[in-house]
Amino acid sequence: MSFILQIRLKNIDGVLERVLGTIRYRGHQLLRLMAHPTPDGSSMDVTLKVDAGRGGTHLTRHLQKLFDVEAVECYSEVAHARYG
Amino acid sequence: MNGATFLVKALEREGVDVVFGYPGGAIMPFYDALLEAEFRHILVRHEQAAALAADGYARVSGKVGVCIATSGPGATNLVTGLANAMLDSVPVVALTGQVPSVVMGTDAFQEVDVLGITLPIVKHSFLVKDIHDLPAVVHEAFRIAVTGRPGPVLIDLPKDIQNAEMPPNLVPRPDHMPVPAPPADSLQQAAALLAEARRPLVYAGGGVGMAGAVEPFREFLAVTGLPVVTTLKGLGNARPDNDLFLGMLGMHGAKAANYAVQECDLLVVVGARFDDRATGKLAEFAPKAKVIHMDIDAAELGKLRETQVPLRGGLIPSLRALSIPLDIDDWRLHCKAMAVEHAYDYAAPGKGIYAPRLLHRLSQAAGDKTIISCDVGQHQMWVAQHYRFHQPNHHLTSGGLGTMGYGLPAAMGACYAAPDHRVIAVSGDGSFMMNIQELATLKRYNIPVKILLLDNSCLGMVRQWQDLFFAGRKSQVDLSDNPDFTRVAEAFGIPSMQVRRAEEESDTVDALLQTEGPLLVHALIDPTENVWPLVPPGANNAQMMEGART
Repeated sequence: MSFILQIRLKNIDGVLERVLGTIRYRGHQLLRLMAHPTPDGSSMDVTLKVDAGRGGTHLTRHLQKLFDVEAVECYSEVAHARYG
Repeated sequence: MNGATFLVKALEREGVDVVFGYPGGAIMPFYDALLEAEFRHILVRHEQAAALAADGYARVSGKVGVCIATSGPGATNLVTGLANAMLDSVPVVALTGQVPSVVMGTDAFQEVDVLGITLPIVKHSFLVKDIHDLPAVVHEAFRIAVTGRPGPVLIDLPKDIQNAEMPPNLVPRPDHMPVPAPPADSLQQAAALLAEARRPLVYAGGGVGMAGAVEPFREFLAVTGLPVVTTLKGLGNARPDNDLFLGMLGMHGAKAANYAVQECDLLVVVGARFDDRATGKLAEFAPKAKVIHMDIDAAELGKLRETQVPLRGGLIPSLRALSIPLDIDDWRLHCKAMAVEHAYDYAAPGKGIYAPRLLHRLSQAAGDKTIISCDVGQHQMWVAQHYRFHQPNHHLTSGGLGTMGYGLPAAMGACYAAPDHRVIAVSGDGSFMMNIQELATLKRYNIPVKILLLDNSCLGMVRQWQDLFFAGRKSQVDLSDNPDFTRVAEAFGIPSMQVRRAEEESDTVDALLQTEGPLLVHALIDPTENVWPLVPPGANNAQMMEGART
């Protein structure tokens, strides 16, 4: 079981470390990562695949608490393949 | 104006009246600007104490506590204090000097990646790379520290940023974010659950005090007539004379509290987080209960326990909406009877000081303007069990991190937050040694902290666990070669006294309550005394152990 997270971040120091550290600390294993800055460079779009761990809802809530996180969407892998 | 001077003025604009810190190379421009500051700087003797004093100040005052350190070891010495504030949701802003930008990343002298080191133990952190960002960063740091669920924020300041010239205009202070209200339909569901419950119980935590919701919480208890248990951090939420307050729940909780939790059919959780020390075996915690959970932090809702009605938002609107008279007389009588049946007994056969009785006596005599700051260990649990708090911010304790060495610096912070209150640090001989250097800070500023040092010449809680769960094999818990603490205190210029006999308990209380200025009371207690009751690891909260007292 795994799920996909699509996250928009402020493109500032340490932001990716903060997100990855939260994923690790909350008990999820990172399976895939893709990140690129938005055209104006102020933000970064990140797509992550992580194992299910304690579930996507809890991880999403913890990521939403990070002040550098502008938006988080969580999809099951099947749903993401269909709609993503 | 340079960045350092701006920073001092920005702290003044944020309403800072005292900061705790220690200077060093990379923070020297700030310390130079500090000479013109309108707020006080308290020079501690170790940076960890600066962070913990800021924590104690913040808990008592409800304002942001500020601590300051230089780069490298100064910054790393803050780490325990920041983690402590993170685990207990305390608003602290830490300012750290950093090596100049041009040498960052070169392993320069006293350079460490403090931003990286502290990422998991702060609510947020900033590295200031452009002087023009500094006004917004300071405002944002203070806003983040207190908004929603509070926590620590770190600002790392390279030395060149502190020295850089900046425009004089200050950014207007932004309003803090509004606290969301819980959804109306969820409140209706919660009210329906409350109305149909036969054995409802409140389980309240530190969130009540942090939300400024103590009086609405007490009104909620008065209107509903709900029995209530609290966490370690929730002690003081209920009025001391509330006869439906059953005590602290959990590992060293009161028997009546733990039995009530196991019997209840509805648990109303108010600003608490199902911490493992509170729940015991989670799968068997409150096994018959549905759950209403009020919390500002969405990440806590359903994190460890399925919740029938999550109420995310400010506590006050939820408490007011659910203040409904309830027809639960039989349950109330049952809870009161349990409280009487399982009340603590202070009779002890020995001739020495019995620490629970001493703390109980202190509680009875201290009145409503006394703050107790605890260290960590057996004495911390005895305080929680035997001292009745009038307000949650009268009880400073390291609940989440369990930081030995917390008590004395936090008590110092409390003295600056509430100078009209008496502040007593209750410590053990293990914990006290962890920040004993702060006796020098007490002396320098004549900070009137009274220290009650309960000395059992060992690491009592670890020793108790080794006795109970490791076949009595004692490993590295003997502290019988402690220094003479009264002479240590005298060497720092702090008056001291030593007590050891049961008949001296009354004099001890008098000394703690009547002495002006700082004081150390060195109380020698029985090294074999244990904290009872105890829920052993892996057991549910109804499976409490209790042993004999000596």
